[in-house]
Amino acid sequence: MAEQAESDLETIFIAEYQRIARVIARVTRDPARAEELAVEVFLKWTRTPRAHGPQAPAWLYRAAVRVGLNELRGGVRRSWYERLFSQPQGSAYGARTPEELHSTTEEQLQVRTVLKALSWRSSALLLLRSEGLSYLEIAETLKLNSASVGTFVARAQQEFRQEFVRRYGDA
Amino acid sequence: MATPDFDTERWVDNRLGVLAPPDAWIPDQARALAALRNRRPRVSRVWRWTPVVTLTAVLVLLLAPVPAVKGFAHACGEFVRRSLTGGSATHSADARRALFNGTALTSLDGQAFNLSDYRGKVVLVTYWSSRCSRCLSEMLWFQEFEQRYRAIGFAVLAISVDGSEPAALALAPDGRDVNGSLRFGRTRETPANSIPTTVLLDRSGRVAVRHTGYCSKREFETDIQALLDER
Repeated sequence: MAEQAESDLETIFIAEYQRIARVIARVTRDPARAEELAVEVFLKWTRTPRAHGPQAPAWLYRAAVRVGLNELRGGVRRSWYERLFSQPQGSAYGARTPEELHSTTEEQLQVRTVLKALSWRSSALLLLRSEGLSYLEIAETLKLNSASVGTFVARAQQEFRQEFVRRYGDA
Repeated sequence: MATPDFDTERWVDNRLGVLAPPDAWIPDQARALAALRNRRPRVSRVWRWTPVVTLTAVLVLLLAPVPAVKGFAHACGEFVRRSLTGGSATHSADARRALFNGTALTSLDGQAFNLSDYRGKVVLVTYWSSRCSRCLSEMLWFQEFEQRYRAIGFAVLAISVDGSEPAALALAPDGRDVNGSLRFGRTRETPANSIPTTVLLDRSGRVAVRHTGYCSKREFETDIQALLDER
């Protein structure tokens, strides 16, 4: 039985770990921290028997989004991140010159601030959508009616835009 | 299904795109799996707690018969029960005892109780209701006390505070319980804010102790014995 559980864990880990880590990395923007949190998510999954079986991927994504957004909202390591991203590691995200680096960091901060201001569901919808999940996958992950996901996503996008414009203008 | 406005969708996608980790970044799966395996408990939680639970159970079984431990456990239990139910006992010194006013008490058929018949006895008057489970368990104690101390002058009056049709009528149509130890009655007025309320009268018919809410069997018995010892 223990071997079966171990093999289940390994199978789901190999299949989902990288995507889970990427979802978290979107919010935390710290690759090392994202990997750490992704391990936490899988550890939690091993302790939650009701999450095993066919619903495992949806459960993992939901947990990943929750962990990521909690991290974002908690702001515990925020100053550490800021220091981290003021270093040239930011160039890994596409910025080449100091000006580009500054502009990217600024933009990332703005987006994170807006995500933080939105409701949990809206932020989760936007994150999962931007990670490339289909409406059906989003519906399964967030336990929503699949027929309404499009409406919810559109509403979340409107909310995001309004909040962004309210804070930073329509730049 | 509603389709989001194209401009808004693209605008939001562009904004959120800045958070995307670089394609070149590949999370280190092998290291993460090793970390996960290290952090997983080697034995299940149930097995981890089994020795602790077994040891505790063995200790409890070994120590339970020790009188000091038993007494302490009993005192703790009484303290918790009393804290939860808010029971209290008021003892009156001999010089301060007031005569018990039993004018509102009647037998089940409506005849006034003549409390003077009980003079010279220690009387336990308990106000109870058939809706109060605690009252019913206390009643068993009182029955036991009555049988034990009847010979040395102890009597029990169980006064029902139920409405027009007291349950005592069903329990004891002749006003006495099946063993003939408790004398049942009723009252014309609400006697106390808390049910059960039990009043202990000394041999002169004066209120010596008033128990309100939950009180332990031991407390009742101690008070009864103290009153029986008074001469």
